[in-house]
Amino acid sequence: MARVHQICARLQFGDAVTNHVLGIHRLLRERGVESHVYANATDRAHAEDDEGERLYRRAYMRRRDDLLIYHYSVFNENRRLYLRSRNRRVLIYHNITPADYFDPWEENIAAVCRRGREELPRLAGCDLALGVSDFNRRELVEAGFPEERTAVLPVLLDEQRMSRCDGALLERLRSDPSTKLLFVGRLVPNKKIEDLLTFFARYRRVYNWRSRLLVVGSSWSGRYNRFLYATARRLGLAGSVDFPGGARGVSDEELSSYYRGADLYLSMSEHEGFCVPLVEAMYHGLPVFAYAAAAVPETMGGKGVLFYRKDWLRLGAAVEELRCDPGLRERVIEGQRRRYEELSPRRTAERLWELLGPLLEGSG
Amino acid sequence: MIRINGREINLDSLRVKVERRRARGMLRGEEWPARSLKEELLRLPELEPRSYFGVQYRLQRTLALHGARLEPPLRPAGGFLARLPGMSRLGMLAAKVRRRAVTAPNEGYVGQQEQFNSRIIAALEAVSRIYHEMLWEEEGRLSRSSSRSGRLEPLDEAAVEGLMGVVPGRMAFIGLPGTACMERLLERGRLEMGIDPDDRAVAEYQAAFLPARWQRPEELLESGWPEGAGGLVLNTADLLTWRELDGLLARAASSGRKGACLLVRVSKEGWACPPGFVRVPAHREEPRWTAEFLSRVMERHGLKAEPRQMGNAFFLMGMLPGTAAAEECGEGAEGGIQEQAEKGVAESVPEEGAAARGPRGEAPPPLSGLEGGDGEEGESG
Repeated sequence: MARVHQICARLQFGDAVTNHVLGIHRLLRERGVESHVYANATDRAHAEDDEGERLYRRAYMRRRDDLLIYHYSVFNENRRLYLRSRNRRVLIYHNITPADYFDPWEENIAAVCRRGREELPRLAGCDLALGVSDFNRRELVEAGFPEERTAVLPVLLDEQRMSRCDGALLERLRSDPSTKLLFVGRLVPNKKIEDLLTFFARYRRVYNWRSRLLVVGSSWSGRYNRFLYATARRLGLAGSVDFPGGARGVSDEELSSYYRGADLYLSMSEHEGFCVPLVEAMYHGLPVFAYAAAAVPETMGGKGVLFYRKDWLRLGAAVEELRCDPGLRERVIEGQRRRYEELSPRRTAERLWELLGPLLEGSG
Repeated sequence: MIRINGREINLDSLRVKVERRRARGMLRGEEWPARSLKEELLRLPELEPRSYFGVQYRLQRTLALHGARLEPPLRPAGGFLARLPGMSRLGMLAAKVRRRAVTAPNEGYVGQQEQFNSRIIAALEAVSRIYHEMLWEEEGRLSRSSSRSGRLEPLDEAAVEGLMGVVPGRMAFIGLPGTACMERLLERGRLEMGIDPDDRAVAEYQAAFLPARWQRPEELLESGWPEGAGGLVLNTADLLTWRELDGLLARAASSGRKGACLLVRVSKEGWACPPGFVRVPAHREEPRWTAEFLSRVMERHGLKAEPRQMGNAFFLMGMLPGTAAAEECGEGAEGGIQEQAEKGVAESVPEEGAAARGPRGEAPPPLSGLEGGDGEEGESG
């Protein structure tokens, strides 16, 4: 059978794309397929997973029987490998944040995002283009990818990783009697963490003073971070908002503990290509409140709580209702559980095999 | 629009449920957003005097929570002001003017009525809008500007031991007494809660997982004595205006448990808090209550104040009436109440001048021979 090569921009701890790449890698190996991963940049945690782009360029790039999966989530020079490769090519599009979100904060990141979106139509010459959501798939079609060669493959989740837990942290969270609202994600402007803070300040004042906000994720932009901290201080939230994570984020065990120790997941994000934390929250049985933007309604699949306007008063009332009504909470969790089944690793693995199988057999 | 499990929820019914919950005391009604207040106002077909006072009271109260005030103050000629020598005529005049302003629209002058109603609705709308903006957009700024947070001297270990010796059961604090103190009390199961109107102070304590919460001191006893508290420690009396202090002590005296005690912290020099440790609004000076003044206010509500030193802190301790401890503590506190009732409330006010000072921001009452201040004003860190 043919080899499968995956190329991505970076292998980084806690990154959703990285987890997806490694999930596919693991799955392929379990099925006896020779699999290799190459990244443009790698952190220490994943140094062993990266085999180096040079190896691919020298040994495999010209083999017509091999299969290349290119993960496109940011503009990167390794797109040249994808464009020059003679392998059968699959592109997985994870979406790129619109540059407008970064413009006021980080010009360099904004420029990279802008370039990434501009480059997308040039990547259309592939055998199969996959979006991690239909929202992404539609963007591919709009960019000029032939619709018949596009499909949806949800992000492959790692249940083993999600099932680990930091007992001490969980104990500490559970011993705190306050209502804990959780958000998980990188501290980037499109996630609208400032809206989260504003909502929380009002929720705390109007409905429930005994509440805390946990913003768990790695920092990305110094300027945006400073703005967030200043906003939290301005709103009088110092002490009732935690930003665990810092530059590297939290460990898998800590992340699971936050999911398990929280009372509710809340997202104000305005741009998501899939939003893995929503599904992770579903896995952990945490009710999800999410702003219905971009791919979020699709990921939620009509379950959980979706709000279409950031109306603080009504959103606060809904949060309060869920907090005080155990029956409603249970119904929401039950709905989410059913949705999680649809996005479970088992289903996604089947789907992956369904999509890649013909290509692997055809090339083998 | 909000969808739960794919179904759109009825926001009106949701809101009704939340309102009901609020009515049951699960939410803090005073901070219900101004927009509901505005809607209530606009539903009124006609502003009756009763409604007018109700609305005015509610507005003033809501604004006061955020450091603002409605002009003119509520019932300027009512209460103690009318009883002051030389002030009664002024009080009567003010009452007459107000009565005229309010009742005139109901006497058949349609044009005047319309004008009055439209003006007052416009005014209330404006206040509502301003308050709305204040609440929603400038919350943090307001909470900071309404009080200049100073470093309140924490209670030391001896003070904590002393408090545990005199207070039966758990204790509630108005004004947070220091994290170490609260941790020690919490460990020993003797802490009920601590409240403070300063967001930052509360945040600091909450970060240490201590049961601190943001609340105006005078609100604490609105729904009765804190359940489980055997004593109430007023750590920062200077945070309160005369009316708030009086109201708080009245409610404490009327709603407290038998055997419970109330402690008001004072400084050695006779100030409620040591100069430099009081919190005052940024824009004006707040009254500072002397020990004697505080003790007389306590006595007014049947709490015989007994000075006590505990560690680094000085307190006035009053046992709630109707208990053996209270009788030991004072010379028959119940008798004191009866006596006051016979004499009339006004006579038991420590100094008429003191009572006459309006809430917030007016000069401290110069009790005869007890000016006591050394002029260290506004040194609050």
